[in-house]
Amino acid sequence: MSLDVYQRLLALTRARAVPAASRAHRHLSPRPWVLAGYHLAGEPSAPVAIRYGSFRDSPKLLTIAEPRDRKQRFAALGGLARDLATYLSRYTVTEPVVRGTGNGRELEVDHCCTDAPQIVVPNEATAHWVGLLGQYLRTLDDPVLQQAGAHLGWIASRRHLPGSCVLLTATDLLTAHWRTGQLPTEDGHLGRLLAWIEPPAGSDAWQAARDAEARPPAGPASDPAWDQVVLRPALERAKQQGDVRRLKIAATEVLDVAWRDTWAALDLVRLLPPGEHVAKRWESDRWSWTRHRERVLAGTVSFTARLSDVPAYRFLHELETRTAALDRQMALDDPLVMARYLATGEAVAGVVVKRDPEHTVTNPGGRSVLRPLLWVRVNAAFDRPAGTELWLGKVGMTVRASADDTIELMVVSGAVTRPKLNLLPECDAEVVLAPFGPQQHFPDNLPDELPWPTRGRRKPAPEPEQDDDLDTDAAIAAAAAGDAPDSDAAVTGDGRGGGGS
Amino acid sequence: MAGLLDAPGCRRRLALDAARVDLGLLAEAIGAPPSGQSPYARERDGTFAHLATSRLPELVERHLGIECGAAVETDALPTGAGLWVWREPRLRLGDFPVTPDQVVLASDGTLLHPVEIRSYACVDGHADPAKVAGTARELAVVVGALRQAAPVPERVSSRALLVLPRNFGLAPVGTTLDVAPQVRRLGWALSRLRADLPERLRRQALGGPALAGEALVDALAEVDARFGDGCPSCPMYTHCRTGAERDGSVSRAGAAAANLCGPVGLATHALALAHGERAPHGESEQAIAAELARAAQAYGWATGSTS
Amino acid sequence: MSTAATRHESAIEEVWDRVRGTDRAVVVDSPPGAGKSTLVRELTRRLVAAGEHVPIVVQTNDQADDLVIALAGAGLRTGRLHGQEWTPPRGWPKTKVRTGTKLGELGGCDVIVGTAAKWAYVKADERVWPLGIIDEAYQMSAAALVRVGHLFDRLLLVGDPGQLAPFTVADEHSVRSLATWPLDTAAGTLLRNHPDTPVVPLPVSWRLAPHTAPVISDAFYTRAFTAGAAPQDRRLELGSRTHPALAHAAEHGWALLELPEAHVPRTDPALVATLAELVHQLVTAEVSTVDPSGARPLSHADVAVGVVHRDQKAHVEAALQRRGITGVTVDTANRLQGRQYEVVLAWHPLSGRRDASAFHLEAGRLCVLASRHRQACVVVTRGGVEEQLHAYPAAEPVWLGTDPPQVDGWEANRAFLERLAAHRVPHR
Repeated sequence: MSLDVYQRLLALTRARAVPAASRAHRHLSPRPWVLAGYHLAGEPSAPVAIRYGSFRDSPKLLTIAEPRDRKQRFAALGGLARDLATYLSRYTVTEPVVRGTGNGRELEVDHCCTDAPQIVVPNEATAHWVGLLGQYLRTLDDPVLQQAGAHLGWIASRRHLPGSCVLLTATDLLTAHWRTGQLPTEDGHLGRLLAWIEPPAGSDAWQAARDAEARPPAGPASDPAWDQVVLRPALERAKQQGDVRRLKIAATEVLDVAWRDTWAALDLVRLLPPGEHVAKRWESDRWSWTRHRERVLAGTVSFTARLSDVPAYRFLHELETRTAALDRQMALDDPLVMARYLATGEAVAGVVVKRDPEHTVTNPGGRSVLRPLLWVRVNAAFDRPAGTELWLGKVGMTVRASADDTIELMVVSGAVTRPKLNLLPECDAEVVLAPFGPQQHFPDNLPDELPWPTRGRRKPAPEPEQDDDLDTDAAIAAAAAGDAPDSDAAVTGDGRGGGGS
Repeated sequence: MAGLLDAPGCRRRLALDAARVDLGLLAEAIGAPPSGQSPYARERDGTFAHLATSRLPELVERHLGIECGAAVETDALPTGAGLWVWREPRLRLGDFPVTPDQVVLASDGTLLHPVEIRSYACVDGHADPAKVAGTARELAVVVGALRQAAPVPERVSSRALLVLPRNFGLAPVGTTLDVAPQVRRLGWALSRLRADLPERLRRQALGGPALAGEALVDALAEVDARFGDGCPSCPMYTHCRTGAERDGSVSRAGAAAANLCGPVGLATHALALAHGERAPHGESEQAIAAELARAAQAYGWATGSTS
Repeated sequence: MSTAATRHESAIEEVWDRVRGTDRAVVVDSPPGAGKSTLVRELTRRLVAAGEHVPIVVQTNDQADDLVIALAGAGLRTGRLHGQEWTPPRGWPKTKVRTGTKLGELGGCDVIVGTAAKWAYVKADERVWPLGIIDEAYQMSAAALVRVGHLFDRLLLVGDPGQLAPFTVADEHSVRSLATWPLDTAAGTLLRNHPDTPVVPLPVSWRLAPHTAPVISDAFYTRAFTAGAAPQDRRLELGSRTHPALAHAAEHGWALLELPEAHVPRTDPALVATLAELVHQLVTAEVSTVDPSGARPLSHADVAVGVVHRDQKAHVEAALQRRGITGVTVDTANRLQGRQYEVVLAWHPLSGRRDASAFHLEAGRLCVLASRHRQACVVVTRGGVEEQLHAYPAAEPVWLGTDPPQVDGWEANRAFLERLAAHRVPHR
């Protein structure tokens, strides 16, 4: 998209981010649950410290002196799970909603939660970790932790759905609304990103971004130097002397930045007026939360780590539908997003200079039908061929001809009957003709079970059960005691990084 | 050697590899934050490698169909069936030395399959695709070097066994990984590699004294860099980044910007073209100016300003 | 010549035997122009003659219309199952054909043709057929197959494995979180789930000429094929004063027209102008196309311009309209799949870029653009594509548990370019 490049160049030369949206395109809860965590390097589920809560000035801090120890982890995460349950319990109020059922001809009253929970984390890595945490909690033998795992499972399942706002990352919030002049991959660093949008007084984005980089990362990715110099002594002290003060100080230091930055991102996006479709998308999150709660209450909630069979195909259908809908809705809600389409020439902005609402053509059946004509003087040279389709809300039209700065359009849908002619724009009206019209809904048409061509005759043999939850600590201890089998042939660390680098 | 596949378009990165620059010296010279591994990651790596090694025979049989016992030490390319570990092999790829700490190989007597143990997690059969891609590139270098050392190159298979820890624990799980495309790419990259190193680096490449400090930075700066999206993983990243920032280079904003602006290398020039403050030279600049002007106009329309 | 015909005939008989046999599914791999449409028509005719009703699933409305016209022309009573907004194209048969949006409106038809999207609305409790035919089965996704598979007890899948892989607007990382890959091809997913399924390759391309078939076969296919035509069979006769690229392509089947190396936006105006000029020359220079059936003037419908992006299509179309040229097809590789022209002008996917991308390197994209022509193909590009290929990092994400593609896009691009180097014509 050329507008994206233009904005990045502007940001680069001004040493400051430029707006990429003039509306907030994400729903922002008045009371989000913010969570930032720091992890032991290389371990997919060994948090050292987690800071969380709905109040920016009084967060809860949780530290785990030996995160590789199952018992300690279990105890600490129990506290987190209970606090999460308390937060979620605020979202149980429902209201009656009249909905169409079946083919939409019958109506029924259903109940939907009036609001839904929202989790906000600093970055993608933390959002991914939320899903892992839920998965881990569900394997534990404790009803409270299991239920928290189920809730986190639902929260994580919404993450991949475009337009869902149940689990937000601060980096996504900011990149959806601003453009920086750095590499897109660098935008994944929350501190750098904020430095571009709001550099401290007296500092340009370049310097501010470098300063941000020097601070410990917003977790859960780890910082090798900090691990060595700060974390290790603190953890040792906590483990050996049971003194967690130093660990708490270290954890506060490392999580404070992520915590403040995440709230700062929320503040920035709150300054923008919400886009018109945001509430509609949040409604679908509320319905999803309602259904999830019903399943939890009925005890029928279940999660598969990775969808397969028919649900996998249903998920793809939903992804595709939502991807297209989000692009379209954002453009219709926000001129700065529509500008991307104007920049490529797919959309057209201009002024109606002439109209002929009475124009008719003869259809293939020989009947004369109403096909109004519009002439629009366009702001930028029109370089598309005749036949190009454009939309003004529900009114669909095709370009008949273009000359100099004016295009001639024939209305082909939405306003081709007399009662609907009032939908046509008046002369002198400023219009933006979009490359997309009203949203179309297609059923997913999926069968209840996979048909034979897409289903193997034989199920693959199940993987043998392995001691899956082998704790690193136990293994390290075993290795130290020399009782690991084949220790002669031990292949030592590959030295090329792997998980930790 | 990984630079050949990581960033074949960047001459500076290739020079770095070709001259065998010590990355520690380099980081010091350019003032980059010290790279390295967290002590916890290192411990985990070591523990997992240990555990996985003891399970290798079982994994090799399951995924490669080769029955074997514990790995046997070798100091040459093994010829017989079994599981082999070759420590500190001194291999070459083209003219470049390839010296991994060790190579583990499983053989059915005809084909040799590399076996690689890594410690990033495989959760529900899913591992970070960027990390797997990195492993695949490194394996391709090993396969290429082994083929060069083998009397019958075809005996070295590009189908490797990758062993990762499963889910949240350390139980090893195996997957076969075919690096044939990476091996082919490597062959091409090698055949086109021209050793046009600056004199000082060439001397180092040929075994002369290693450059350090400013001399090293100066020598590398003589070679053109191509700044882009993949740069943060390169040892020269912070240095090249500073250069791109100082120059106000379009590529500082990423590959999409560099692709659109083509020969217009400076952001201020690109914007001047967009705003009609600079006359485009030649058809290429004309096309770029038209494209950016349209974006500028759309941006002005949306923000209510006339830029 | 006769040997090619014999090999083709015996492949067809093998497919017929398999269809009449006991295999639950049969896959026919057909390189470009290997007589896939003829095969579908011929097998349908035989099945109807044996008293069967034949449902046929195709992928696009154009494909459905073309097939219905061909089947009706062969005297079969054919039903066209279509969506609400479909209108019959030009040349729609007056007899033998019924149309309808519901199965119930197509009574009395021996053959029913519809797109996969339309067939997905048919419920298995309405009717299940003993055998269904799926055309363009490598263009169709597993997701589409899931929606129609239950309608048929057995399946014949016919397709070209060199086509573009199914595409989605959804984010790849999200789709990869699934345990299945719903964007696998229909043929691929069937072969994976039913590995005993016989695959019959059609060995001969009747579209590509002897000097163009090997280039396509080597660069894009794992199963080699050859051309059915003899070297002297076909010829493009040009009037005077045509561009050297057209002259070269008329003689050799290929031309690689290289504009000066430059990094330009993807709607490169110079490339648009060059393509428009070449089309203009083709339709005004009294070109005739000659094959064993005789010589005839090249018409607008014989020429296509293949592009990569929709905005390129818009710009080329607008440029042709400004020259008053209509009736020449301009379309993206996606939409050109399965179609055939006498002369094709192709916009090289990597032209004018600084960095290649996975999208632009996809083997199927270049393969479709370079294999639609019977007589000649002019690939138009900016110089510097080779450098771009070599500067492309091998950094594509690697997903555990998936095999590398049989044909690697980068490799195919490089091989194709190498073969075309001999046909390089500098821009004048």
